[in-house]
Amino acid sequence: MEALAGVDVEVHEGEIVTVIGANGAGKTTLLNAISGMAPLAAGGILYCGQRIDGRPPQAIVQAGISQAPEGRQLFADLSVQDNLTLGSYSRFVSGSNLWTGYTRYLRGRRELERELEDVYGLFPRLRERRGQLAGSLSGGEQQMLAIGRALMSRPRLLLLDEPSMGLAPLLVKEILSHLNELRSRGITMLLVEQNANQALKVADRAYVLERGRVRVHGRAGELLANEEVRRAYLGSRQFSTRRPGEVRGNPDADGATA
Amino acid sequence: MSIVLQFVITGIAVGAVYGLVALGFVIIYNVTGVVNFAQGTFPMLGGFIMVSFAGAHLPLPLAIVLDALIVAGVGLTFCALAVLPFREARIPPLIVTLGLSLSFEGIAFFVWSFNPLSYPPFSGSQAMFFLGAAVYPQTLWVIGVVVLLVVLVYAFFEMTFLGKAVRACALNRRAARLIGIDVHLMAFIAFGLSAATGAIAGAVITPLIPVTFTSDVSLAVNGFAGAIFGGLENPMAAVAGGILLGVVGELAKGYIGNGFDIVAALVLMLVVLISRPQGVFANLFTRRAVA
Repeated sequence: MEALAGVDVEVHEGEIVTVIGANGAGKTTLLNAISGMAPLAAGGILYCGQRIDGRPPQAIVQAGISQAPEGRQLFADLSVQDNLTLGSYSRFVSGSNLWTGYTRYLRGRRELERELEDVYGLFPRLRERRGQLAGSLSGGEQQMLAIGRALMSRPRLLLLDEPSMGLAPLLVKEILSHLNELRSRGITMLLVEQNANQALKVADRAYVLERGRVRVHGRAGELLANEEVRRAYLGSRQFSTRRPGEVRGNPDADGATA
Repeated sequence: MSIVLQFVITGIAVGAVYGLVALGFVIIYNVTGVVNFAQGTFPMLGGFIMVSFAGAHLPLPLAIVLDALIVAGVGLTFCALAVLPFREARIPPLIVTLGLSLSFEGIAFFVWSFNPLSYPPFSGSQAMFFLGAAVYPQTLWVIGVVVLLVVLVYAFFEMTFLGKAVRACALNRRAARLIGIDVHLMAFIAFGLSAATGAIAGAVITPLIPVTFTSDVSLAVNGFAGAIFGGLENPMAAVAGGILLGVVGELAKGYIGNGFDIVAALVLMLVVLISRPQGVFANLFTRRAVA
């Protein structure tokens, strides 16, 4: 099944780019293709001037692209701190060379501590809960942990898949407000969202994905003002009963690769 | 009373070995989603190789380490044959593991023939008496070695970075791949670890219970039944289940007759499967994606 058809998305260094669209538009497939989790049938992925499609997920993370996946995907029975620490796995272990990985880990421990502190500085709630099992966290905390774990690989490009999913509006604002701080640390972001309103507010540029194709793209501010986009994805008052998920949803598209 | 105690003590030693086999089942199942029915092959080979090493007068510690390494190699081969080729295929790797265990029975028959083999206990066979029951030093060796191995395995999974990476793979394979963990490498670690621990368990029990080319059957059946106690997923429950099965098995052998230990194990397994089907059938028959 083809979830994406001729999608052309560009992200420049230092940008926050969002891809919005209904459930099933192919947003998750796009991120999974970048992360090396889903094979490409055609086309390619260019990152820093190099083709990275076809590389295994580990190589992608090592190249500097990490993902905070849809639905958090935490290691529920491991502690918050263990979840974070494992996020740095690919910095130590390359392929199956465990011995080198182990020596690198021993040498890099202090640095690892510092990076943990960085994440805790960004999300102080995680520091309070460092010893707790990831599965026992609230939805908002789990999202913070998912982002924190992705940050532990020291990414240059961070892929965020539906960070607002299942969170109260206030929490969504809080989580998204951290993205600007991440940008100031030199991280470029590709944010996939169903919550178009919030996503367009934090992003510089946006793509509207519909049934695997880019429908509209442009500056986030412009799309926020675009009448068609407003109607379809922002739930303008008079159309508020028409939920994009119901009208345009193709529930299988994301599920096929998830 | 002392006769019951005698059965219980022997049962604990035998059960400790079952417990390690059960632990091996759980480790491999959690990480790869495969029920490795060739689990009994590891302690069987461990026992045979130890007999050969003892015959060659190798120092005991060296013999055990070499034994564990060789059988770990066999475990890695099993992983390569039974898990990796079946990522996309519909044939459950379970069938392949059954085939492997039969093949190794054949190999063991050719190499070591059909007579039960044994080698001298580690520190003599002078029995100590405890409430009228005879306790052989080897019994204590078995229990001690198994406790040590369980503690080491536990520490590996709880306290080391690599152990946590293996667990991460068991908890959420997709997320593990996303952060760059090579799930195949983790599968190899799981197989290597459970083969090595199984081999050591088989090596230390052999002076008490001689090994034959069909030893793997009762080890696998009892180990699997033990693992079922832990719903196939809980390692420590599996060890406890194995020990319980060892005790019940010895009592069954002592009071009903030889061969009834396996009957007892199967009956207990049925009881668990019937009374707790949700945690058992569901996990057994919905094969998790193999990496």
